[in-house]
Amino acid sequence: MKRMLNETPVGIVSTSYCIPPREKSVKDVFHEEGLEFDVATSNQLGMDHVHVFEGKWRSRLALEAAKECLCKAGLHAKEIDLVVDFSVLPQDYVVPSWCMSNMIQHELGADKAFNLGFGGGGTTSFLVALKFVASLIRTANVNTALLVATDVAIPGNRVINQDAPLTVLGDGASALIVSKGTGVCEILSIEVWSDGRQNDVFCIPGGGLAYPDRVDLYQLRIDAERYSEEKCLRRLKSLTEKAAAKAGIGMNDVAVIVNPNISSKDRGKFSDVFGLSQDDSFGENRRQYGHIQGTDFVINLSQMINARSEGRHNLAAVCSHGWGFSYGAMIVRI
Amino acid sequence: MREMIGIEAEAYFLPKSKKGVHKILEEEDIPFGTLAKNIDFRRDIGIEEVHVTEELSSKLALRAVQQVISKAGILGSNIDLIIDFTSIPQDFIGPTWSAAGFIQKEINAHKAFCTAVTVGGCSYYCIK
Repeated sequence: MKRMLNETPVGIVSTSYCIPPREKSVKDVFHEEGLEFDVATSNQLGMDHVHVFEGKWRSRLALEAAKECLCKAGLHAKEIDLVVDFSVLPQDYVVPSWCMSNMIQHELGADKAFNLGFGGGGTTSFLVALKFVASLIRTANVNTALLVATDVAIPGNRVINQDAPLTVLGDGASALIVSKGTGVCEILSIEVWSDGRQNDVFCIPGGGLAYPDRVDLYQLRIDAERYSEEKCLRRLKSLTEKAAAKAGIGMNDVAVIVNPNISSKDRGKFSDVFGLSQDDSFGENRRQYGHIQGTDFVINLSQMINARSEGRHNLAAVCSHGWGFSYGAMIVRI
Repeated sequence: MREMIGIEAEAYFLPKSKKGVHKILEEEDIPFGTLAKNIDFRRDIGIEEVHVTEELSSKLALRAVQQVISKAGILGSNIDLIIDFTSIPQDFIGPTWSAAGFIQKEINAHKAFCTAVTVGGCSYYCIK
């Protein structure tokens, strides 16, 4: 493992996530959306429940996560220099005109912070936000950043790709504090790459300028005909190897791969391509929460950080292909 | 020694059609005449007309991009990073989608990484 001698170490100091209390079985989600839920589908998804948010302001989940995260880090809001939103799904108000990080700053009283959000990259926005934050901490007058996300599914749109379900969306929010120093999870390298040809494979077509009046298209959809999981995973593996090389390690040094909790089938293919032995390290998170966009990473990283005290894991690769458009891979030491 | 960073080229694209602000105020039922505190939108707004289009906003961005890479004398394939700093709603719903990937595709910026920054206003442009 290498870090340039003059390079400032940057790490995740604390993580937190906020999951709404109400549970719904995946079987009930399928029935509500008029879909059959058979054994084969159940096995492919590997999900039992999702948690559903019933309030009006989804940003409140992020605020709760942010407060807990600050508390765990032993920091006061006034110590935050930067608030970054990495949410993926529609927010309280229409993005990009509105950015949740401004509300989080206000509610926390993070008076000296600058606020922004990253979008358009699916779950990879989490890695983009971390790359930007780590770079600012290393090169600019930024010491401490708060990253937040909240993702609540569009009503009636939890099962993604209803013809051949790819995943089921749960609701939740998460937060991280990133700062100078190694923290509980040191960021060693982050690599990103995009394939613009796939920019609209993952999108909500209705309600924007393309189809402003098509309420029926106000649904998150994945264009399955243009999405090749195998191709995406091979590209992601290559990018992850690049990130590992930047960190001065080989893939054999990586103890665990952290990816979004899409489905059991997805994790299986992931294991095949990455040469893992059908590892399902985060299966329990997937089973109880479903897929919560970038919050999946925070839940899975939190599990690893907690396991560290038991002497497990050291180097991890955190990676996502953003449904073939936005790729990111990060090497961390936990 | 400090490495120099600068703006190599800039461009903007405005659609040809124009609409007078008086017409817009009428269409949108904005009251005219002097209101409380001596406010008169028509008199005080300081804008006579704006450019308007029925085209998708991403298409306007693409034309600006094509101009700017031409002015800079580079190819799309020379670009490493594309950042969308749009402030108002786009072709598809954000933050799920941004126009950055569409631009990458259209200008063959195959080695670029694409993302969008949201701040809530026009200070997107000033993010360093």
